[in-house]
Amino acid sequence: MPLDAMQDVTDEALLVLFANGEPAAARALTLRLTPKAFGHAARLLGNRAEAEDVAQEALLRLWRVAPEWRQGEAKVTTWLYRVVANLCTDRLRRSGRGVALDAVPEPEDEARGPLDKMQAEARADALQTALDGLPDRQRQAVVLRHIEGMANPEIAEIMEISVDAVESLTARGKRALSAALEGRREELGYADEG
Amino acid sequence: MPMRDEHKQGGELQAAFDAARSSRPEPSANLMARVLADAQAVQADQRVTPSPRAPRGYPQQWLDTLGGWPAVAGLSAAGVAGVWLGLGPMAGVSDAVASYLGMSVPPAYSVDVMPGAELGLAWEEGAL
Repeated sequence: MPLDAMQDVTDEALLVLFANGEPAAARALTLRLTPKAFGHAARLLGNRAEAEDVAQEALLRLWRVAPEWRQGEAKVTTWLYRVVANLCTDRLRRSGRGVALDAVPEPEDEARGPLDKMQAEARADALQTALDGLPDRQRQAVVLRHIEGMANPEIAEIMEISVDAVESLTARGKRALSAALEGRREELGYADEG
Repeated sequence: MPMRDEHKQGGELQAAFDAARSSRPEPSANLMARVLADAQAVQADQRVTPSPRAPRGYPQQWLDTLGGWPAVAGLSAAGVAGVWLGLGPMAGVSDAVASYLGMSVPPAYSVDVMPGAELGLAWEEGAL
């Protein structure tokens, strides 16, 4: 069974179908958007349980706003990433940033050897720890650009800032990440690579 | 510690990003089920209450048929004007109504719009 049975239908069209009461649209949107919302929340919060709550809340807001969704105004994913980021920011401010790292990554590449997999996990964990140390906006910009793989204009739309501001945030974020990872080069196997 | 080559640092950071992308946190089956349950509950709510308007009674339907309160206001104004015309008619209106009913009313004024018409008719009938 395919992960998404309505692959050719856009998110926006699916949302209209959802608002019209189409059960298949509810299922397709859940399958398509929950991993994105959860993944982004986990990167921003560094906490799996909290990320699940944020993802559920963000999607609940999407379901409720569906009947009033205005076509062509914004992409559903742009709206969703923005809501996820806002919910994460609220949580981080309330909790005072004492985040635990339990977003356990599951390597997808089964062909890699156990050592490679362990090293990749260690690098991902180290990156997450370093990300947790960044200011909220820098972390969000870096995650959207370098992990979610989005283009700067889309990030600017999500974060409601200019493209120049996105570039500035990602540049400062990358410098801070490099500095944070500097002390763990040997542990993460970078020393062996030169 | 001396600062190493920026290019190397960038390569290491890129390797860390690659590792993070290949180990994207995946949602649990429980979360997927919770989100889908929310979606279905919201859809069910929207089906149960397709419209927030309460059922409309006969007087309201009658009002809607006429065009709502604005139309009723217009009708009321027309009715009041009719009553007023009936109770306190203007002199001209009174004469016109009386004339319509066949009553003799002395003309308040008369205007001959075709002054030569009577003469023409008499000529044709051979009276002249």
